[in-house]
Amino acid sequence: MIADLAIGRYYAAESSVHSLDPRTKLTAALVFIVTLFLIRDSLTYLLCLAALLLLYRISHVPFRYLMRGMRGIVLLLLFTLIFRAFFSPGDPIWSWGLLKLTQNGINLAIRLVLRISLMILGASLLSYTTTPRQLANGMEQALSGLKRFHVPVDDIALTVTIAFRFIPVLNEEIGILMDAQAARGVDFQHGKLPEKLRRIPSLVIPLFVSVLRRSADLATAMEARGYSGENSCTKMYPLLYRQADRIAYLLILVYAPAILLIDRGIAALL
Amino acid sequence: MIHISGLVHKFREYPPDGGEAVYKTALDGVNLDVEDGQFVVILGPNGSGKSTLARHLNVLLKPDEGTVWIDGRNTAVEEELWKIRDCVGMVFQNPDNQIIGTTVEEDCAFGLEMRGVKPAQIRARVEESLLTVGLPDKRQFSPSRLSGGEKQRLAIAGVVACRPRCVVLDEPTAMLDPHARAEVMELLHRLNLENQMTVVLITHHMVEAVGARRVIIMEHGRVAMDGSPEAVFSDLERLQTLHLEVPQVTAAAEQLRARGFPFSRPVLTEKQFAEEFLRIYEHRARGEEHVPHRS
Amino acid sequence: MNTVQGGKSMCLIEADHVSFSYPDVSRTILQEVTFSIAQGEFIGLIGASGSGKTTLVKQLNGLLRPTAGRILLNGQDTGRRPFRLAELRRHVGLVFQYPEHQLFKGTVLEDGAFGPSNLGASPEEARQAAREALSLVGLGPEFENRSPLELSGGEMRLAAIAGVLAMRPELLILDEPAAGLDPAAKERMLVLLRNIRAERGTSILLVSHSMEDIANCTDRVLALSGGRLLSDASPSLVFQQVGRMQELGTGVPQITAAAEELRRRGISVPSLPITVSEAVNCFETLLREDCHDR
Repeated sequence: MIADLAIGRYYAAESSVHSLDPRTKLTAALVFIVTLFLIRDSLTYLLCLAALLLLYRISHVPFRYLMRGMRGIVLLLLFTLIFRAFFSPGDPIWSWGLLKLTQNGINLAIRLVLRISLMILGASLLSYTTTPRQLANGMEQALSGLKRFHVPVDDIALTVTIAFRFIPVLNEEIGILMDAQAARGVDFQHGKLPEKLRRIPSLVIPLFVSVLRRSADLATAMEARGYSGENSCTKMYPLLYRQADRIAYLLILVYAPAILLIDRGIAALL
Repeated sequence: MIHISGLVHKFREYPPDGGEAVYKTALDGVNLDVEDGQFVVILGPNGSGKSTLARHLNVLLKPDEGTVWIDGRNTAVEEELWKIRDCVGMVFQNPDNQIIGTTVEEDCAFGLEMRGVKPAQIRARVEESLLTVGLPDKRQFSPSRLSGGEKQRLAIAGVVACRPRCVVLDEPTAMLDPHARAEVMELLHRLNLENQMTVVLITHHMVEAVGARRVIIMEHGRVAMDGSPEAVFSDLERLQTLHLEVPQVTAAAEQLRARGFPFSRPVLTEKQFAEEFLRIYEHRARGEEHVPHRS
Repeated sequence: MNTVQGGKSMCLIEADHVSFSYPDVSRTILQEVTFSIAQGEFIGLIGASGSGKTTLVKQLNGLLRPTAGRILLNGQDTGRRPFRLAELRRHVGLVFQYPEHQLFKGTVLEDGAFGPSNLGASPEEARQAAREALSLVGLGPEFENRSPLELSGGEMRLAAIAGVLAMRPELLILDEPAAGLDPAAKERMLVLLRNIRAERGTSILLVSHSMEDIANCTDRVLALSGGRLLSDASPSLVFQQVGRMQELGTGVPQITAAAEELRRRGISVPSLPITVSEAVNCFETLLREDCHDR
């Protein structure tokens, strides 16, 4: 199961979001994140959140997956909140030694936490609705303009694809290596840090050798199959924009100025 | 289709304890011809040069001396390189280390994508190739969900999609279990018969040579034996000096022959053994003292 | 089809109704597997891919703990205190497929000494054990200071096996030790296994897909299918059931299949031979005696 999901962040479903061109989604994510940084009023963030939740709904990604994305950074958010609230300039409401709780600090803290959360949620949605391969393809085609500047976009994309392809293979190999070294008496579960460090070579060195060997084999195979480094390649599923993408781009084009205007509006009203 | 004349290949070896590099001869004057549509098996112990020979066939290596002609093109000529690679596809020993795509259909398409084939045609050819090798319902699978035999079949699909005239396989079954080996062999024979593909199979499993049209045995960089399986396997003494594992029925038939029972040569399969045994049994049952040797 | 083991005291390792499934998966991989291995025995383990062979083997050296049932070492339950499961590794050596992939130390000798050092041997003891093991597999002193990566594929494999032998296990389990080897090297590997048993009295458990090798080398065969142990008997007995072995997915030695073919065609073969020499004697008898009957 994990093997098919590569990194494990893709949630397979049929939705209009899933079937959008990856370039559209990448652009949307980029615009979303940039606007997050330009927004000044915390209330506007709530609107962004609403928009995002709507998208989650449309893409049929369950709520609990939403929370999963947040779980990893709860500590970071807490830390940021406290740090910002207590160490920002302004008139202290309450203080204790070096800690100064200010109104300014509280505002900044809330804004920062909201910003980070929304960024994570936005990026999560992107990865839930787009497979790593699609992302790589999207970036490759989007950046193909760089080829004019002799940037090897195709080769980089191929390298990324191959890396994804071998994640499950290397995963399995590490498992076998651990078993083999455990059979030779290495205890991977217990022991203090210095002991744990000493076990690393028994895994890393064979893995390194194996990866080198695979690379050599792979290079030979690629050459035999016609890889020549010259860029006259086509794609089996070339990325083509469809009506849904055009609509999406329109919405993105509307969203960015709209949200910023609303933000200024709210700031002026309050 | 393939014409090799006086092929010599040397490579440098650095001795483990330091010192000057030594030249070792991997191929020492090989002469070989393969016709269109043949199923050729190249056998030999490790170090006989069979893998090196295979790599000359699609220009992964160039000759130090002598020439290799593929479909009328000389492999030493730089300009001919990609035309030759269009003509001869290659499948390697390690199933994982030749699969590039993140899904089955993506990997199958690799060669076609590299050659700039139009997307619609790529999709059609991939569909066709996956059908040929028996993996059509696994097209969206990640390669790590495939068994060893399926991975090799995928590798073959990727090669076949580019419609080469010839496919060279370097010990494709060495890392497979007997089931998977049989799958792959069945596919290769089918490709040879139904798609008229020339197959050059490098292996050390004698059993795989049984269905071939031609068996070539290499030793020390030279062609030691070359002929039909029947002809080659009849010379069992020679085969044993070449350290080749003879199928059990072949060995048994030979030993019975030595004890006076006229088993004809060679006996390669269980069925052949049974037929020979019955033939001799019936003759003896009829009371014939002298049982004629089958020619 | 169980053979009687000569006395509990001879019993080196026992699997007693061992069942196993992974914690978050509902499928049981092993079901009530029961067998024993005596000191000095050469046992074969066969079964189609996915029948549970690797999982079973990992129970025997403590890499995995049975979900039900127990593994007994010299009569002692390895799942209970004071026995620590990790201790099993001292007694049961496990050589995985393509073991040359696990070599990592700077010299062959150091790598061979890795196992014994992990078990608590002093550096000198570990090196001595490694030396003995290397000699046993046929790698002489000239290999000691070479980097494992410089060796040929076959030599690397021998070095890896020596690394496990250096721990002086009483039972050596090998998963397809001849995988990827050419016929000559394969033959040498099987001879080596016999030598190890002869010289050290080590019991050998050979996991293999080659029924011919199993027939030629083993005293007893364990046949696994769908996680259940279906057969535990000498290879001669196990391979009589040609149809059953084909259903299991393992098949039988080629010569046995040939004899079965003869049976099908009306020749009364008394007992199916499993090796070439057995077959030659059997067939010769059949051909000659028939002459007299008619």
